[in-house]
Amino acid sequence: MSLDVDYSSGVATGTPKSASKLPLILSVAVTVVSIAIYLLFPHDGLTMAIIGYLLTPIGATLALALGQSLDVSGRRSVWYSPSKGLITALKILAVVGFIIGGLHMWDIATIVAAA
Amino acid sequence: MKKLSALLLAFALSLLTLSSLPAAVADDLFPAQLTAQGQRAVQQIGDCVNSRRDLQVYYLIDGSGSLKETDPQNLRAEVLATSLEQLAPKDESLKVSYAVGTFGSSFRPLKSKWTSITAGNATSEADWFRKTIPGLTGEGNTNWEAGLSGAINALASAKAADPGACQVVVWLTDGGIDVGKSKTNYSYEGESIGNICGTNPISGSGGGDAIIDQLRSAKINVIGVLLRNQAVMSALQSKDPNGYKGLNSAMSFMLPIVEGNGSVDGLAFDYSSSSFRCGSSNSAMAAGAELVASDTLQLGLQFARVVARSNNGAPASVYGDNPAHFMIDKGVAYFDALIASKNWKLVNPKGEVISSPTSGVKAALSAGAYLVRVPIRNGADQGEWSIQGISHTQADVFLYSGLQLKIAVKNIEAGKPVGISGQVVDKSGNPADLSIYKSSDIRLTTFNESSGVDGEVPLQLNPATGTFSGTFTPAKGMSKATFDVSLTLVTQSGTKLSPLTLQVEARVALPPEYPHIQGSGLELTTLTGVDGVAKGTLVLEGSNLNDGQVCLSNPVIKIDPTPSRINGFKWSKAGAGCINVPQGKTVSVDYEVSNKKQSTGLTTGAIPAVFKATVIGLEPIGQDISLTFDSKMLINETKRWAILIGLMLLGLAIPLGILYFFGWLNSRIMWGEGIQRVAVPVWIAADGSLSRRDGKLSDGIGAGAAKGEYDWSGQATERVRSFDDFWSDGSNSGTVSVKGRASRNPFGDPVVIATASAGTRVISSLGGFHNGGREGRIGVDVGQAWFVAIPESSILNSESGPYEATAVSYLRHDAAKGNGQATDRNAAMGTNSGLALIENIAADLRKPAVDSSKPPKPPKPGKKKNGKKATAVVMPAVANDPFSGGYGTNDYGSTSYEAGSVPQTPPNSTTSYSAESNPTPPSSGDNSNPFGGSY
Repeated sequence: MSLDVDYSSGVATGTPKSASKLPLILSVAVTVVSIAIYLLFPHDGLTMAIIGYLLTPIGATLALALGQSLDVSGRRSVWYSPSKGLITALKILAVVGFIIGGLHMWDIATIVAAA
Repeated sequence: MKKLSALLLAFALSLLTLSSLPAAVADDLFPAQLTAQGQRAVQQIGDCVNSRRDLQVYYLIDGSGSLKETDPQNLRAEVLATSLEQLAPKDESLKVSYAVGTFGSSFRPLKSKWTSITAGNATSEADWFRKTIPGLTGEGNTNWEAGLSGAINALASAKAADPGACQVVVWLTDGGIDVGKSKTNYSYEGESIGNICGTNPISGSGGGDAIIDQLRSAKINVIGVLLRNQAVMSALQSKDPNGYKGLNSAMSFMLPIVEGNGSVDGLAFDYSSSSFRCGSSNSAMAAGAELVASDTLQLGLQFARVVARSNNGAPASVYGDNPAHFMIDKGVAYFDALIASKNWKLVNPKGEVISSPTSGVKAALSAGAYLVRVPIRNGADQGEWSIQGISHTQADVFLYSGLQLKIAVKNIEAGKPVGISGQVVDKSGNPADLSIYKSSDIRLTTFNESSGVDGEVPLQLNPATGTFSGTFTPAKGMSKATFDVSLTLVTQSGTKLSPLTLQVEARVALPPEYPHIQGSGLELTTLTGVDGVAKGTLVLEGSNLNDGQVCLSNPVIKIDPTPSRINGFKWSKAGAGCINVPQGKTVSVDYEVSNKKQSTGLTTGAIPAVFKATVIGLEPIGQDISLTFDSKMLINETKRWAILIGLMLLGLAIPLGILYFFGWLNSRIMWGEGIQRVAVPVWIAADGSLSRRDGKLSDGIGAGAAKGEYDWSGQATERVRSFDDFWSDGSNSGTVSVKGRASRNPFGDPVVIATASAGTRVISSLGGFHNGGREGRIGVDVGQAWFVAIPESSILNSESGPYEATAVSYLRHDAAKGNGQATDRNAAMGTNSGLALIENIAADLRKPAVDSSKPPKPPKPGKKKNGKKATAVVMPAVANDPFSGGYGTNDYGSTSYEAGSVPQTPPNSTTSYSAESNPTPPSSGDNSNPFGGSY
């Protein structure tokens, strides 16, 4: 435990920082790609169904976890402004991801059960 | 005056010259009218629809972003919608269905399920276009290859389900090919054209099988619709001449793609020739037609013309201006008028107004042009019609006879003449009287699978009864006779109606000297599941006249509902080689096929065979034996549901695990990095209000802990899993152990628990009454945390409070806020409803002990973990700590208070304090309350 650092000056020279949009972008991207895979590709291919399953719900959940981590660690700085809306959006997307994932799960189950 | 006239004439001529120059260039590359090949395509569509009465239209629609500029009013949606309404059959004798796909950077099915259009649903289906197409501008670039490949797959599936249907692709685009890989280098586009056409315009090399040939060979006509917005092109030419040239060049390649051959501008691809051949084309293949429209009105008109021609409409001569005229003769059942004007009246020969935009026979409006279909009711409707308010160039009229051909063909044998007879019927199904026409001519044209048109056979027609007959001799070696019957009619005024055509396909039987197959082909049992086998027996029947032989080749699968599995069929039993078939005997040949890939639907194929008769002079005859079987997917439902449940559980468990793991990672407490701490001796009254015991004010900023009283403590850049706060106010001391953990709510913030040491209760910043007040919650950010530690003895010693306590508060130093940071904290603490928990704590302490042998377990300092390892964070004694030498702690042991500044006993109802030395805790809300809500 050292008090060598002059925190009074260090903290005062920061700049305001808002919550990172990266997790939201990732979450939207994986959700859109997952929907696209479901709509664009034939439903008899296991590979695309598994990719869709990995994107949603797992990819969307990872984006939520990343968002929560960045938010929690961001709060160490007095310059950080947390965004409740962003975390709520990530949570909604994670739930939506699970629903979309259900479509891929059905395809995987059908393909494997038919093989 | 002469000078003025000459000037005007010169000006008009110069304008004409200027406008005609680019138009002349454009006419070759972008023909405004249907080319001969385009007319052939339209004729083929009409012939096919008339013969088969079953049409599948696949709309392949450009969804690129450029449509926002080329069609800002989304008129293409109306054009396509109206085309669908026009295609709707007027009676049940014709079946029309459609599906839709879009392309941009890639292909995407928009409406993959084939939907039948009927008179009843045409409007609602057309409305789908009106609603959907305007939003279709986000598909990226203009990847023709992806679009055409997608259409081929969609049409192949439809063909498998309905093998007899005529198929047409309506391919609408507004720009040149652009695969989106480079804005200046067209090599990628050249490669893509190579894939479509089999020839790369840049390298000249072949790209293997041409994609477009798959459409042509499958008899799928392509109507390519190029929306070439002149205003946009002109603007581009001024703004970016090179970009204009490149786009113009790329656009020009649509013509050869659609029609097989055509003029191109090879600039973008360094292609020197002025024309380009794309894929193969012969008379046995389907033809294509390109429509080029400079604006959406033109597009609507062009499209309506093609639809009318495809429906066998014959263009009538329109003459005169305002009114424009046209003739309706006997033998015309109805006509379509396409009028490019807002105000018009359609008047019959008797002078009656039959239709206008607002009255009479209903006219459909499409992209600025009206389309009206008028039935000819009686003789009053025959004669010269007029369209008031327009010139002859503003109207197209298409005439229909409403007649149909019916034909009977029986017992076709290869090499032997066969009688053909038929009947022309009117729209009610009654025999047609063809004598009302000026002339009527019927022909029969035979086709050969490999070379196309084979020959023409004369037929005899009786105009009065509408019957016809003739003799046709299928060539030896033919397995299937294909011929067209075509009836051409000319009305009394000389208008030539579109030929009525009927295409007939009939299996050709073998002559009696040859062995033949029993039935019409080999039909196998249903192929079910991956382990299933489709079985069947081909029975070869010997001739009654002589012995024979049948030489069988391996079966070939041609159409399957899942095209990707066509190469996966395994024939465990199949005829191979030549089999002797004795006279009058039968020979059975077993066939068994399986496939490890499942599907559902009809599979068709053929067994190439050569039939031989052991008679001198009779040549072997090659014929394909048709092969069909159904496939059915077999799914183990138990397995499917078990897998689904497993996947769902895994799909829940993995995300929950991820969230818990991250929650655990995030539960490391944010200690250090600017953290300041203050410990203040306070009174906490029974109602939860706080007041300082030392009577100090806060350095001129009001009552409460001033910012200057906070000291630096616990600085560290690493986050810790736990730490201990050894608090002391001189008279009381203890430990509050702070420990973080993941929340049990997967979406919740990490939980940080502050646990008081034995003999102390705690109220913390996030409140909660846990374990009798021995535990409280604070946030994961210590900078937001505070707690009030209350020795149990102080509660037990005072019946109704106030009680001695120590408030500990943490701040993350923000120099910008200055003293306000402490003031805000004081307010936050003073207004926190959790302080009222003191009542619960007091009640808990005073309740009769149930089991005093089991006191709450104190925390174990030294076994805490700091991220990866256990660490205890110890509050430092700071030399300049305003509390260290006063009522703070020093080395967490000895305490010293300045005499006279600290009350030794709490104020209560039985003890009185002097105003100078023993401040009485003020009531909540009082300005003197250091943690009151007045801030």
